[in-house]
Parts: sequence; C-alpha cells; structure tokens
Amino acid sequence: MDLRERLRLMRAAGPRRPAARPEPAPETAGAPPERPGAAEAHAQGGSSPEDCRLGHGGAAAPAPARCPEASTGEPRAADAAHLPGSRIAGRLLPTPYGPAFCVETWYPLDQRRGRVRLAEVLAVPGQGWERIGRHPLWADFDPTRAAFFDTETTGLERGAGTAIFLAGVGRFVGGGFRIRQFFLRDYPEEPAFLQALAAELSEASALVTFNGKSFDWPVLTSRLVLQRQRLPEIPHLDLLYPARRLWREVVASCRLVDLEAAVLGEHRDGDIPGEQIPRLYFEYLRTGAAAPLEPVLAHNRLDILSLVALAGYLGHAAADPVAAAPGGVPLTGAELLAMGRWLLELGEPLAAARALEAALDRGLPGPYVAAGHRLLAAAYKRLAWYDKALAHWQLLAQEGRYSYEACVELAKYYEHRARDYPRAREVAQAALERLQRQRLLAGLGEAPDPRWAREVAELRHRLARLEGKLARQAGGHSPAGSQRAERESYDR
Amino acid sequence: MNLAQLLERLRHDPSFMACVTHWEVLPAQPARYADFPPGLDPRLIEALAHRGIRRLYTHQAEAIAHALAGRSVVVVTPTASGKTLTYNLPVLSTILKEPAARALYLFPTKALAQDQVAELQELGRYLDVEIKSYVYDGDTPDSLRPTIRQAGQVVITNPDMLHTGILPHHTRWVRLFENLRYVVIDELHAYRGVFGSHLANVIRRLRRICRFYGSDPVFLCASATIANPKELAERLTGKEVHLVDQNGAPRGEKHFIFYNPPVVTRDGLREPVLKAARRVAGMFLQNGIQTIVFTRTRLNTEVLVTYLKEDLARGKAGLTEKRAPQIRGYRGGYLPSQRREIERGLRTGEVLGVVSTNALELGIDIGQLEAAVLAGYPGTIASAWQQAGRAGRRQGISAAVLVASSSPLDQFLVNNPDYFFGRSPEHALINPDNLMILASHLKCAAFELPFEDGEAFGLDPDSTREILAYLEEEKILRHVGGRWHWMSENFPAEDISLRSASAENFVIIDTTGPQHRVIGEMDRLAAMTMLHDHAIYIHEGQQYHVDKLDWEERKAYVHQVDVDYYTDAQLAVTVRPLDVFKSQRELGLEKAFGEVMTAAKATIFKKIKLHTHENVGWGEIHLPEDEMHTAAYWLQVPEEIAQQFEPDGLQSALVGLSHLLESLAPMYLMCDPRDLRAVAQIKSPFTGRPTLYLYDAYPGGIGLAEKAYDLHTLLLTAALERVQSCPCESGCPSCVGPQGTGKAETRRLLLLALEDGGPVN
Repeated sequence: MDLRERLRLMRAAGPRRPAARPEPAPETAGAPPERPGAAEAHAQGGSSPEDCRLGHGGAAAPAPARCPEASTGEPRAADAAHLPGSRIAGRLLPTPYGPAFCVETWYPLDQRRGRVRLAEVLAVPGQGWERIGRHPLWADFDPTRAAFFDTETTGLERGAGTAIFLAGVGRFVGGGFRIRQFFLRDYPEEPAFLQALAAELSEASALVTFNGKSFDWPVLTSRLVLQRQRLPEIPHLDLLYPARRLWREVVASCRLVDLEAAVLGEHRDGDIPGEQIPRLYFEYLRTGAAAPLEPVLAHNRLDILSLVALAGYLGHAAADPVAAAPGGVPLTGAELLAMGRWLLELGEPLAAARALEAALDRGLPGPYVAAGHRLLAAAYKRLAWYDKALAHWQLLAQEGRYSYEACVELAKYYEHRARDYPRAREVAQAALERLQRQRLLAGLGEAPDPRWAREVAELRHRLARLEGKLARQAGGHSPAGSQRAERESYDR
Repeated sequence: MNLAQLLERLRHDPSFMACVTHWEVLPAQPARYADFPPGLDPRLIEALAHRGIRRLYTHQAEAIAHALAGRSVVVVTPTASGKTLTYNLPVLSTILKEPAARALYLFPTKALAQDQVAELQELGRYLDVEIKSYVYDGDTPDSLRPTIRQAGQVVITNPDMLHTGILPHHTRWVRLFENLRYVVIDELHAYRGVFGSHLANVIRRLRRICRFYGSDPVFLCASATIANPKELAERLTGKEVHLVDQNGAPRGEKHFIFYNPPVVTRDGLREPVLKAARRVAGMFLQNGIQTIVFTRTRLNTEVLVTYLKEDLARGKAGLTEKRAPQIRGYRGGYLPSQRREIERGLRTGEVLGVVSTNALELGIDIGQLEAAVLAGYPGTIASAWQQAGRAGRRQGISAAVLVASSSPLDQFLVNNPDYFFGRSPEHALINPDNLMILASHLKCAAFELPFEDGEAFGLDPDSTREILAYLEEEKILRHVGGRWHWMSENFPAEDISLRSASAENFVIIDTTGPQHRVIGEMDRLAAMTMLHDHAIYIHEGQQYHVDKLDWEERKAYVHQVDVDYYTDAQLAVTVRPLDVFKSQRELGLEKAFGEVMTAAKATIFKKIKLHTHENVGWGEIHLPEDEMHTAAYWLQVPEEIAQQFEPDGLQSALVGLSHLLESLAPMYLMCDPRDLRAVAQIKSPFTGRPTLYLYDAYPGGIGLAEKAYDLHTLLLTAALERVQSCPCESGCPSCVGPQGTGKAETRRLLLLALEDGGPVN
C-alpha cells in the first residue's frame, strides 16, 4: 500500500455519520453573473463598468491629459499583458526578480464615492490630520504624497501561510487619482510582485488604510520577511480607529462596506463578499481562467475609493466639526457629539465645546441628549466657564442616568466656587439619595461594587465637611483658617 | 517518633511486615563535585557564589561542558539533583557574552513555565545585567506580546503554544529564530506516545524554520529515569544527543517499601487501596512527618483528604486538632493562587501533608518532604520514581511506600520487585513517522514555508513528495516553480491538537440546574459505551442519567439521579488485518504485526443492580460504527494447541489473556493504558484460527503494537507470572479480569504458548 493510499484510508475511517460534514463546495459558481454591457475595455484611461457606475456621467471619465501614464494609451505597448480568459488588462513592470503584473485605473478628482468627492481629502486642513493621527507631525500630512492601500489575501487569518495576491495602491498623481493594482499571477512571481509593490509604496510619504495596522501591513511585512526583502516603516494612518470613534455609537458595524452605506450613502450592488475572495483566487490558480477575478479587482478598487472618501470625510470632520460639510452635508448631531467627546479626550475643550453646542443645536437622538449636556458641561468646566456649565448640570441633576454625577458636580461647584454651603449640602444630599436609588435599581443580589462604597464614603465625607463649614460660618469664624483647610481638601 | 524511629518500629511490627513484599534501602551517597567548565562566564560563577554555589556536581559540569561546546545533551538524574542549572547556566552564560542570543524553553504545563521564570529571575538578581525572560502562552497579555517577540532573550512556552502561536507566525519572531542558540526541553519523559510523536514533528517544523533564518539550535533536555533517554531525545530532536546520567548530587538514605494490602475476603479480594493508603499515610502524619500522598484520580484525592483530616482531627498520641488544617489537597482544577499557597506551605513546613494527583509529580518546587505514599502504582516506573522522589532529602533519611491496588499491573509489580528495582526496561515510545501525525504537521510546515522539490520532512524526499502530492490533490497545496505553496484559507495548526488522540471529544453537559454546565469530556470510543442514551454515567461519585447523546454535535446531555443500578454496555469490536508486515512462530504461538482496520460498535447495555449485581434490564444502543485504521500485533493459536481445549475453555483463555495483556503491556511500552486495546476472536475470519489482537488506539499507530511484537515472550511471561502468583481461586480482576473465571484455562494456554513447540507446518 503506498503512502497516499494509506492516508486516504485513515482519513476515510472514523465514525460513520449519516450526514457527513459537507465538503466545501467548488466555488466556481461563486462568481457573479456577468453584467450586461460589460464589454468595454477595462484598462488605463478607461474605467470598468463598476467604476463607470460610480462616475457621475457614465463611461466618460477620461484621464486628465497631464498624466504621462495616461497618454501612453492602451496596453498595446510591448509590456502590455492580459490575464487569460478575462477582460483584465495591465502591464508587466520589470523588476530585478522578473516582471510583475499591474493594472492601472484612473479616476477624475471629482469622482464621487456616495456623496463625497475624492478631491475633498485634498482640502483637509493640517489640524484635521493632526487630530486623526494624534501626533503634531501629522499636521504636515499631504494626501497627494500618500498611498491609499488595501490588499486581498489568500486567507483571512494572519500567519506565515497567508499571502497577498492583490494589492491596490491609490495615489493622487498629475491632477487625477490613479489606482495601481499589483496582482500575483502565480506564486513564483511573488518576489517580483512584492518588489514592485514595495517600490510603489516607498514613493509615498505615508500610508492610509482601513484596519491596515493589524492586517494589511503585518501580512505584507510577513511576506517580505519570507522573501528576505525589506521595506522601511512608512508613517501609517489607519482610519479604522478614528472611524470607530466617530461612528461606533450610531453604526452597527464599523466595517468599511457598512460605513460606505451609512456615512457616504453608497451601496454596492453585486459586490463579492470578502470571505469568498480567497477561493476565487485559488480557483483561478487551478483553472487559469481569470474572469471570476474581475469582481475581486473591482471590489479592491471600490475599497480604495471609499478609503479616500472616508479620509476626506474624517479629515474635515476632525479639522472643524461645526463647519465641516463633507459631500455638502454638515455633520449630524450624533457625529458632532462623537467629535466633541474625542476633542475632550485630545485635551481641546474649546473645540469640544463648540462641537457639542452645535450637536445640541442640530439635535441628537433621544438617548444621546443627556450625554450631550454632560460632555458640554465637562468641556465648560475644563475651560473654567462655570456659569455656562451650571445650566447643564442643573438640567441633568433633575433626572436621568447622569443626575447623580451632576449633583456631585453641583455640590463641588457650590462648595468651592459659589461658597454657597447650604446649596452645596442640599445637592450633596440629593446626590447621596440618587446614588442609593441607583444602587437599588442596579439589583440587590449583586455583590457590592467597591466603587459604589467609595462614592458613598466620599459623599458622606463631603457632607461632614460642609456641616463643619456651615457651623463655622454660623459661629462667624475668620475664613483664613478654613480657606487653608479648603485648599488642602480641594477636589476637582 | 521521628522517621528513623518509626521505620525501625515498623520493621518489627508483624502485622505491617505481613503486607510488605519488598523493603529496599538505597544507601546514602555523598556528593561528587567538579570544577566549573571552562567557558562559563565569570560573572555567572560569581553570581552562583552569592547563592552559595561554589562548585558544581559532576553531572552538571559534564552537561554544561557539552552545551557550551555546542553539543546537544540529555540529563537523566533524580528529582532535586540540580537539573535546571544544567541548562540555565549555559543559556545565561551565552546571553551574557552575546546579548542578541536567544533561548526557547519548553515545558509540558503552564505551571512549570511560571516556576522557571522565578528561577531565572532569582539567578538574574545576582547578575548586574537583566536577563529578559518571559512566559509566552495563552495567558500572556496581548500588550506584552510584541515586547516578548522582539526582546525576549529567554522565551518560555509549551508545545501547544509553539505549535499554534509561534511557528505559524514565525515572520513576527525573526529576532528569535535568527539568533536561536538553545532549545530547552525539560520533563522529556512526558513526551511519549501520541503527545511525543506530535512534539517530534513540531520540532521538525521548528528546525526547518531555524534553517530558513540561518540558525541551528543546540537542544538541552532533562528527563526522569527511563530506559531510552538518549533514543527518545534523538527521536524528538532529530539530532545527535549526548547522555549524561551519572548523578553527582548527594542523597540521603532512602527506604522504598512495597505494601500489598491484606486479603480481606474469603474469595481473595484485598483491602481497597485508599483505605490502606489512609492507614499508612496516617502513621506518618500522626508522627508529624511531612508527607505527600499521590492518588490516581481527582476524586480519590478529595476522598483521601477528607479521611486524613478526620483522622488528624481526632487526635492521637498527644496530637491536637490543630493538625487537620495542615492537610491539603492538590489537583488540576484548583485556582493557581491556591496552588501557589499550598506549594509555599510545603516549602515552609506549614503544610504537613498533601494529597495530590500526578499534578505535583512534575518539577514544581515544593522542597523536599520526608515521606511519600503512592496510593496505587502510577502506571510507569518513571512516574513512580518521580513521585517517590518527592520524598528524599540531601541529608537524612526518607521513605516512600507504594500501596498496591488490586489491578493486575499493581499486583504484578509488588510481587516482582526486581522488575522495578533492576535496570528499568521501560521505553518511552514515540513514532514521529506515524502517517496521520506526520501528514498533519507537514501541512503546518507547508503553511509556514513552501516546500522545495527534493526537500524531506521526517521521511525520505520521495515519500515526502508523495504526501505533498496527496495534499495537492486535496487542493491544499499548489506545486509550481519547484515549490509547494500553501493554497487554502485555513490555518492548519488550529485543527491539530497535540495532546488528545482524537480531536473530537464529547462534552458532558449537566442539565439538572437552570444553568447548564459542562462537567467533563470523553473521547469518542468511551462515549459509545458510557454516554449512550439511558446510560448511568458516574462522575465524581454522582450518578447521572444520559438523556441524549448528540452524536453529530458531540454532546451528551445528562441530569443527576439517584438510582440503585449502573449500566454496562457491550462494545463489539472487529479487527480486519489489511497488510502483514512481519510474522513468525515464537515458541508455541504464531505472532504477527501489521496494519488493521478496526470497527467498534456499541450493541446493547445491561442495567445491573448495585451490590447484588443482578441483571435488572437491558436496552439497545443505536450508534454508528466507529472505524479506525491502525497498527496491531496479533497472536494465533495453532491447531495443535487449540485442540487441547474445549471451545468454551479456549474462549475464556483468550479473554483472560486479553485482559492480562491489556493491563500489563502498558508497563513495558510506557504508554497510557487507553492507548492500547485488545480483542479476542475465537475464529478470526482473517487467520482462520483463534486469534488475539493488541492494537494501537490511535489512527495509524504510534509504535506500541510493533514494540509489543518484539516483546512477545516477555509479555507472555509476565502474564503467566501474574496468573500464577494471584492468590484467587478461579480468577479475579487482578488477573484474568472482571468476569472472574477462566484462570485455569488462561494459565494452561500461557504455559503452552511459552513451550518450545518446535517448527510448524
């Protein structure tokens, strides 16, 4: 018996189940049916049917005359190449390791993704990038020197066996937007593929990705290590994190396609689900027919276009949330609320206050109104604008989930700022009651939260101190000594 | 009474001595020292001096000299002989000289890994440089992982983590693999059978990745006493390994006593092992002697702790009730913090007695106790020595008592002390080339790095190529440009478990309370007979009724009951040989080794009343047949022997022999009793004769059946010895099995089998 035969026997053995786990069905049928009218050339200067649908006027979308690549015309040149059995046409780029296959697609600057134009990203002030990148160096970020980067891989998990077979790099070049898609025609071409990709990326001064910090970049690094190639670190702006900050509360999932729909107002028709992509590639490797990959390349281009639109949206929102109108539409109240919270965290209470004022102004969904007041009061407090904060605390103190917290803030305010000890005692007592009520509502059977006990103790301490102050006030003591004591026990 | 006095008294106690089958005194041995080997960093020698170590034991110096010279080594010396220094010193010395150098430590359990970090930090305290040593396992916080990957000089992990968490992500561990100088494998003897066969392949993958990054690590191994440490180390690492087994550490006088509980019933049954162990351990504890008791199961641990606490609370000979809290249990399932507390208590002496499963057998630091009681033979000589080694001080005397259970293995052992105290015949067997295991890891290896044409993985290049081609047919690999590339979206390491023979375990779900909870798991074959619908399943002393066995989902739903019967299911196993690799006549029988297909089917179950063993009902079991392709060793009874038996007599002789071989063979093959199964056929369709099969309970086999084929005469001799020395009348669970009959026929068959029957036609 040969080895293979024995392996088969061992595999076949085991429990006899009435319904064995289904074999993974061959996925050849996974490719969506070809769309009518999809016969146009898909190459440099033109755009594929999917891309045309994106364009504002159909198939026109000519490449700007200024870009040299565009003027090289159709891939009739010596380096032109075609993926067999498909309309995917590209060029072979020479590298020290041999040729790498590359498809180039151009878009005009006023190309829209949903309601956002690509060019909007170019007008984002430096402050927007600084806030998104959370570092002053990002203020100098220049989108025209950035690479908008997204990959398609042979597996959805990281690990040495997961390879990149398609890498799209979008750049603003010569008055237009160019996407170069590097495609791995087969494994032996990987050194050349990576070399060409690395060369393209290293021309950029920064990378912009969506979830690239934990996926695309590590996978690329892993493939380079396997080929013993290197690529220097490039400053990297991963939009997943700012996107989550802005939309986590209002969008069910922060996947790129979901944000496209919810934020940009763009819906993809017949898009290929990400989890099917590896199998389509393997099918191509086995059969050599590339037609089923057409939607994969289109999917990758759409991702990159969305990345640009999203960067523009986020950049403007971060730079000046009140004035921002990405795609001509001002930010919603919920977005302003999220921006306000973010700015507070960044230590910019003034900007936060402006955003939160606008949020309350433009209207917030019911559950978020109280949060708006709470954050706004916090921003005012940070600015030491107590008069303004007071109104919001008083509003919150009346009822709702923040009323305890607001009572505590009021108690601090009346004690240390207004020196109105009777009022301070009143609200401190109210705080204690609310805390106890919250505790009751939270469920009696639960183990006591140590934080709750600490808060009760703090309130009791405050009340005792206030009684002391009231007594001293009644006794007409000189304020000198009590002021020192007050300074010592001063709380925020 | 101190221990010496107590032992003296016992020697003259006739009722105690009536149960003692052997009393071995291992004399004290003085230390043998050697100078520090040249090449050891002077800073390290200075740091050792601060810890009071001014010289090394001979075995330490020898092992360290090998390691520093770049030779792989396996150190085999008893517990507490300073084994960890044999690998820590060369590793630290190398790192002191070359901070970029890296070492990888493998321990079979997480607890041992934690201990090791403490040990390294202790040494590091006396060095003025920081040695960056980290544990990297499933519990390591994500925030710490990048630091460990980049900067960890000593990375301490376990085989499972290496398999799924490190090797498949080797591109993130470039620093480690480029500079890997040492791989430390402690508790080497733990890697036998299926686990060891897997680990050998994980190490093949490790070395393949090292080659890619240009490193070739030296392997530093440490093992408990087994017969073949060098062979095991070489098969695991694939390298030439030097053996260091001359212990230079001092040892106090040690008494090793074999205790066979007295016969308490007229039909020859002995006192239960727990009861006897309670008596023996109680004796030590009542005298204030720090004692560890090992039990075979978690349940027994709890029971014995309760007994001993009771005994000590009652107080005797002027002892007060204060002693009861000083008795602790220790087993898997305790919280780590609780375990640390008990370990600390043992070191400081606050804990007087501990009852443990084999969890404390491995090298967790609990100091050295005075007495060890083994409630039942732990299954292998190596384990028995490890457990006994928990008692044993460098100075002063210590005692270990093995209390035998009624199993054939225990009974054989206490009646044959020479087997135990003579040269250990136990072989730790692994079969890295088991096709199933090898092919699984070849898949992982292909994920990690594409195979090149002509590359070999374990097998020769042609066979490697054959498996690669098979994987290509399975659409997992793509062969192009002289290389085999991974072409699947799966992550293969996740589907392969290193520890269990079958990855498909059944979970047992208790539905008694409103909150359903998982109370245990069980492998597929055991599930067929113990978790079928309407079975009574007993777990930690509690009865459960199986409401439903969901075969597809691998779940058994049970609820607590209190009934007066248990269930016993019958499993019909057929064995069909596919290929005979070797066969020959040896004395009276014909023996063979080859590949077989086994088919197991649970047929019916009986309800048996507790205590009276009346049959009070039965039911059918409707479960699919379970097939396995594996390796087997089989014995055929030739016609001239068969005709000397009545058919019924031959049947019971075969059944008796099956039971004996199933229980005694694991001792010689150093495997878990569950790894080996026996089936008797009165007329085998394949051989046409009465045949007894002994087969590996793992697809493809892990080398047990083949070794059993080689040990044929030895196994039959041991079986005969067991039958002859058993005091029972006509058969009992300690010899021919639970049916309790057929002793005479089994004995006769064995005698004939061991006679030189001359050539056969």
